[in-house]
Amino acid sequence: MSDQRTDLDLETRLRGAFRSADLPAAPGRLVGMLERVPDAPVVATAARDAGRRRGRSTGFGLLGLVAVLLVGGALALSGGARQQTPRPNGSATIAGEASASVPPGRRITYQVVWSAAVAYTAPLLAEEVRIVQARIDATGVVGATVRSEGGETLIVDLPADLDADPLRRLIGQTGRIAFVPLDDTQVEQGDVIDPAAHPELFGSEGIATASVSTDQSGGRVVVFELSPAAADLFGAWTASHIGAGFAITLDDRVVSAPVIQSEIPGGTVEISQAGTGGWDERAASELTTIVRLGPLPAPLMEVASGPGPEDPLASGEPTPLVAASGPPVACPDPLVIENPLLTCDRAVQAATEILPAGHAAIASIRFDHACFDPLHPGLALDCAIQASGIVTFSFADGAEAFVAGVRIGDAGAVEAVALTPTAAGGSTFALERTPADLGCDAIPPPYRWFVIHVDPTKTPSVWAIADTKARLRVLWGSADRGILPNSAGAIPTPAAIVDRFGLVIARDGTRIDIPEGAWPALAGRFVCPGPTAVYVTDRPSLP
Amino acid sequence: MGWLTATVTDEALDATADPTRAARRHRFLAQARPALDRVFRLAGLLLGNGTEAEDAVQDGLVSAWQRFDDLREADRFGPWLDRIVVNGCRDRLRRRGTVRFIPLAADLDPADRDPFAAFLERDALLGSVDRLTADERIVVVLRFWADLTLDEIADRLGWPLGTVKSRLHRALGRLREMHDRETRDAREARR
Repeated sequence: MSDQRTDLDLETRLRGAFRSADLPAAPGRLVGMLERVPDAPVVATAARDAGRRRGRSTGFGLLGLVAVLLVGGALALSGGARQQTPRPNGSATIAGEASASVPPGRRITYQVVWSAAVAYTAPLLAEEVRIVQARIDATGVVGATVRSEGGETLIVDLPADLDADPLRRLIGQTGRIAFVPLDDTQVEQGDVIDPAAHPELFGSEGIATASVSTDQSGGRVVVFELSPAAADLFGAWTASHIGAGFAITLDDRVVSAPVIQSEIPGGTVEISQAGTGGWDERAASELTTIVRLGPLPAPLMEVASGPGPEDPLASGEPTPLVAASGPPVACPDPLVIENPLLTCDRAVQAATEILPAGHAAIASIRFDHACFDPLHPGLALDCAIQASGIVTFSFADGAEAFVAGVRIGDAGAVEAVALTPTAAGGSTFALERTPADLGCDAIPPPYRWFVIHVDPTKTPSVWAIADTKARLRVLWGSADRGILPNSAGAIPTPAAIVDRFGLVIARDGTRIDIPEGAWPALAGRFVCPGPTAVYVTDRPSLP
Repeated sequence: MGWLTATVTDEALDATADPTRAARRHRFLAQARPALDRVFRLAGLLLGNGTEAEDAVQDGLVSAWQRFDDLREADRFGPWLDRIVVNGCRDRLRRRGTVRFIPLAADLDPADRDPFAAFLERDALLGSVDRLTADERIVVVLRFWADLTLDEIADRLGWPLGTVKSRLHRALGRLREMHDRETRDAREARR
């Protein structure tokens, strides 16, 4: 009975609390996305033949609206896109010119300790790099770089004039938290617990977040919020183990070893420290940083620590141009694209390898993920495309920037392809361009499929032959390029058409079928098949 | 065979388009427009975060437009859109188990705080809603914020009535437990 009463009270309270809500209305971006649907210009083919008008416009009413909805979607994401803009002076930036006046920083080399349980994969290694970089960034240190070399070496370059030890402590920890029942075993803070002898109740996965707070007496405490499942588990365990010993460990080392005084339901765990003031500020923020960013996939072992390379060209490094003290590299914000498959350092490294010999001094290097498109910020919707991107080298003498498309190839290796003509001799060939304001006829073309032909020795270099034997012109999107195999042999492909990320979208022999009652697509883009020409557009294909 | 391009305005399109197509679009807009604030707030309360709510609603609208023809009863647009958005939020909440969210520093300027997070933190009871499972949270928000009956919730989510009841019961039990503990802690602190 009393339970029912409490439930009623609770329901009344909940209703009241929700009713007091002064919640924001839908933001303008969202409203705009809808409102722009009827107002947005819909590009359509002007009908000369009145009899066809209905059919065409019908198709376009549908097409225009869906396309606008998609673009609207991109607008709603633009907050993210904005943050993705590389920040030349941001925390993920590699700063520092190689010059005699700049003292070398410190280079710490780690071995990634892969095991049977956690074996090497490229995404795991990328995750390892990301977390280490994020841990350094969290301290506010600017100018540190983290990159992997081979499958099991991690190189951290720290700027000069920096006390490296706190960072080394932060980086070197795997960061695995465990809640370990101890029963009668006595432990103290700092002791190492053998996980085989004392299996954990749960580990890092049970902790939703961590923060620094103060307790009733004003002492600094670290607060863990447990996930619902872990909270239930911990509540149940503490209820039945009052008086038992217990430890919270970080990489098997005891952080706190309380005795359970009462049941701890609800999943908030406050960890205090003896002594006035509670936790040391740095230690507390170190612990919360590690917990928030999550454990490293595999432990790190420091194998070398010394001064950073003073002169990257003289150091004999395998990647001289992108060594830590090389030109500034602008990378995307690691927090915006979580766990990118293609990391900034790997992309830059691959692109550096195809830099033409004898280039001018590099002023800066910039990497953008494929999901960030500075030309069409509204079009590139899908930040799931993390396996490709574009690297731009700017030169000190003002020469035209060298642009490389970079992607993770089928075998997991990073491939780079030049997107600009190089001194080595015209690696691109001319393409005809689809007009930006192209309209597409809803009437099916007089053919059912066509095959693209590419021959850079001919003019035009690209054409198509339809199933009816009709010859068609092929026009391409604004950033598509025709590429020849690079003379440096970076990618041994026959001539092909690549998009702005260097992804091959068509080559000699590519066949495109025209689906029944719909428009064809090429590499996710809308293709308009006209009676005498085929138009590859910049627009996304229709769902 | 001319390839001319022209810009057709909305009015022109209306005049020339297949009337059923144009009507379909207008019907969608006429119904989606007034529902927008409501689904945004619903998503915000479920996710506790305005930015994510915006994404969820946007995904929901695109998906609703694509599936608009599936909606047989025109007067059911609101519940139907709710269901699409709630299911999207549910996926997002569940994904939080595997995708780690990096919380913003607590010392942010209050003006920069997320309005939904700020609202949910203002009241201890609402703050506890954050600790419920995705399904419990959905039931609590639909029951006490949207003021739906259990039958309406079941209908909207496509869950059996018994499931709605048991989830609500469990959610209330957990909220009461958290609430009791906080009251007890507060009492002890006063002593």
